[in-house]
Amino acid sequence: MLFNSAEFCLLFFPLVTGLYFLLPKSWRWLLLLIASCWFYMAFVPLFILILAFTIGVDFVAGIAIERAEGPRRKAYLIASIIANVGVLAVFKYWDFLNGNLTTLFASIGLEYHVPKLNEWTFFGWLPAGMVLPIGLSFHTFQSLSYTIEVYRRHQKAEHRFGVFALYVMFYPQLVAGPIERPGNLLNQLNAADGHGIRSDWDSARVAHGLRQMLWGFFKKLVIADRCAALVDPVYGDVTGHDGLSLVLATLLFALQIYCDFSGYTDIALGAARVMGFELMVNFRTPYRSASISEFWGRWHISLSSWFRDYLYIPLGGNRVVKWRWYMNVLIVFMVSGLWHGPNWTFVIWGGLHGAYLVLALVCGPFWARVHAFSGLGRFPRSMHALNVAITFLLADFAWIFFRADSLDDALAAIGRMAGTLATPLARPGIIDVQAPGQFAVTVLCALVFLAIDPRYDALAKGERTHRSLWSEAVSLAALLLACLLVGHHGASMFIYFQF
Amino acid sequence: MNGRRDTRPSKPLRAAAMAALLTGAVLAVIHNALPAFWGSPNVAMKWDALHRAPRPARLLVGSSRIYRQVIPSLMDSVIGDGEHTFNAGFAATFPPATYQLCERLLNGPGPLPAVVLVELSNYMLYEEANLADHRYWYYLGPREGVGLVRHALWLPGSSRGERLAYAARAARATSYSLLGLGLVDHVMGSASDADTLMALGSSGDGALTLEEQVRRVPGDTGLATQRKAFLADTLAAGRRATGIRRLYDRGPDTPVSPVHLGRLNALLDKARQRGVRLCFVLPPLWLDRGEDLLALAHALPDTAVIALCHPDTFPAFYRPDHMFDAGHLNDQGARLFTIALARALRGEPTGQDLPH
Repeated sequence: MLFNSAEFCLLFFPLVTGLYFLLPKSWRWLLLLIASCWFYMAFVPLFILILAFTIGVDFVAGIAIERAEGPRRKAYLIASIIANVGVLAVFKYWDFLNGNLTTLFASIGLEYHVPKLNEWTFFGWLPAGMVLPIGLSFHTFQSLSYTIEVYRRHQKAEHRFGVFALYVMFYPQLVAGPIERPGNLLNQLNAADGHGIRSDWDSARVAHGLRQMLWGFFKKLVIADRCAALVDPVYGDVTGHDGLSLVLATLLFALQIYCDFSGYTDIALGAARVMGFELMVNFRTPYRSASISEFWGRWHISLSSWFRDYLYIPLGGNRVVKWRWYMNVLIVFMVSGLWHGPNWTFVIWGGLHGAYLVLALVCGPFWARVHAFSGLGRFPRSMHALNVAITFLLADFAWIFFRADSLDDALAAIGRMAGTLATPLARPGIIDVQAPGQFAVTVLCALVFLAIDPRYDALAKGERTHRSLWSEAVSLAALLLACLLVGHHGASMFIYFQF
Repeated sequence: MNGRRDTRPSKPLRAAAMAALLTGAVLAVIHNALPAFWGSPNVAMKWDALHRAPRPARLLVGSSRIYRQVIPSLMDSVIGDGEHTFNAGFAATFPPATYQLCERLLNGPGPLPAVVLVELSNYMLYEEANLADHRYWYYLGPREGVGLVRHALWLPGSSRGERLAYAARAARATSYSLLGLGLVDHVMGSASDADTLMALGSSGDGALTLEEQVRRVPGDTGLATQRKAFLADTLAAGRRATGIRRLYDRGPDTPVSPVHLGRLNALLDKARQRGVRLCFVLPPLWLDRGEDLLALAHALPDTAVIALCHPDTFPAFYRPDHMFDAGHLNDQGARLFTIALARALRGEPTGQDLPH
């Protein structure tokens, strides 16, 4: 079920939230579990079996790890990791591995043929070509974080299957995160005082949650989906569009993916907050970062911290010799790229970010000397603005690989964009992709969004408040009107659902 | 302490209520400021043309079965009273949109046409796909919405689930309209959809037959495909005639929608008050819920209905060489239909000497 569907807004959310507050507290976990199943099964019902498998394995593994001592603890953890990664390998990476193996064998003159996963229909239960379960990487990583935390003795094993299932399936963040940690979400689910989930109705908290949801809807409907209507046709036919259109589409895509993903997150956080749950913050105005390392502290925080805690640090982090450190950074970012999807474009996207960081680490001392010698430090604001602009451009360049359907498309897009610099400006085709005037409206919306994002983001997160009742009412009305009148209402998918 | 400011608005409910009021007020202002029929720019163009002098003596309102099948100049020459006719019908323009057009006209100032002919058609009960096209719901208001929901819940011959689904779609469509979903894009998109040829036809009288459109817009592949499919299905015309004959044979015992009948009677009353002769026209029917239309026609006063659809009385309208596709007449068929309609207006026999 999509957050931006009438089904969610008019039926699911009001019904589940209403029942949540009406039910006795000891029954609320069950309501949320049933609601989460309904939410997930609205996509492809059969996929709940995969989720059930992950939940079952990790529930048992958690208890087994807690009870075991010595090497058996590690064995149970490894079994859990193999099961989870195995699910990912089969359902997400099978075709990718197969395709690469086919190419590899063909290059040495051998024939290799194993059917593609999307040719399987599981005895007709699934439509052909639709085998990637929604949000698979998110809930697999969330479940994995539980067994790892139990193994590290940071978390007690959960002994109630239903509560553990709810931890993995909690509907607001089930399909696109934030990737929660048991220390946060599971402990909130367990904050029972013997009475089940305990939050009472609190109109201020509910209003805060709804306001955050509204901000999320604004980002999705007014910015992300409007940008998508311009970006998709251009990136869908890279060779059919001029370089300037590709430049504009790439700039708009940076905004689209941010608003799409952070919009989803705001709706998720808001929906959870209405019921009294505080989920992890996932974004902090990332395009205001002055370096790539800062960018990753502000972009998809739950994933970057997951990789930091469960991959980067176990690899040795920065407490190793320099070349290993750089290698660790590259490995983490390439794996992070692969996490997004079974395509070399994602690997290159991750690798580029890793390379940016390694370059910054290698050149850091040199730049510090240049900085000191040139006296640029006397203009901190200008330097900060320049760094923000450079960081944005680097991140946006990497988005080309993220957005392109193939490596060939990405390279063709870069070639055409580079060609634009050498040719006189002409009217870019992207202006005519939609009905007259719509490009201008989208650009206007984007500019307004860039201007209000820091303030509204802080308001949505509750980090600042309105000066008066009137200013709050006017800003709420403005957001609501923008969503209604300017938004795209086709209930389009969120980009990160596919991951 | 983390130094964060108080995160809680002091009066959240009051702020929400004020925001809701402001939103409602802005939406009301916008709805009032929008021109008539803004969501169907070709209908809007017809509406504007209708208000230019000289005002037509006869006005036709309906869907493509009026727009494509009634030729005003031919009607004028058959009636021969020196007055002229305007065709305000347009493709996919169904009740309640057509009734709204009549109401606006009858409630408006200035001289009115002496005769208004309105296609008798079913309420457009929203198919799921139609909800994606604002043309089907942009004009709905609270009164229309309630009427549509009541009509949908009444529909006989449909299961409770179907009736509820229709009602839900009607309610959703009305909500979309009242909330102005995607209004900015719709307004801009509609403006670019306006087409003088499509709206006013080649003679400026509002009609454009399908064959005329094919001649004038040769690149229109949609119509060519429609035509090809009809020519390939040699039994289509016969099937339609048989289906409609069957509807007639069932008799007039199908229940009549009180909502729909009430709306039509209100229109007749209003027309009578303004001295306008208003008639409902039954062109060759669609089979879908055709029995409802026949029952409705039966429930209306005889003088208010012109039925030109019985396959035995009007076999000419079911001949493949008079049809463009399974649902519309071609040029020749439109000429015959216009003659029959003009004769009916003059109170003469209608179908007897039309070619069989």
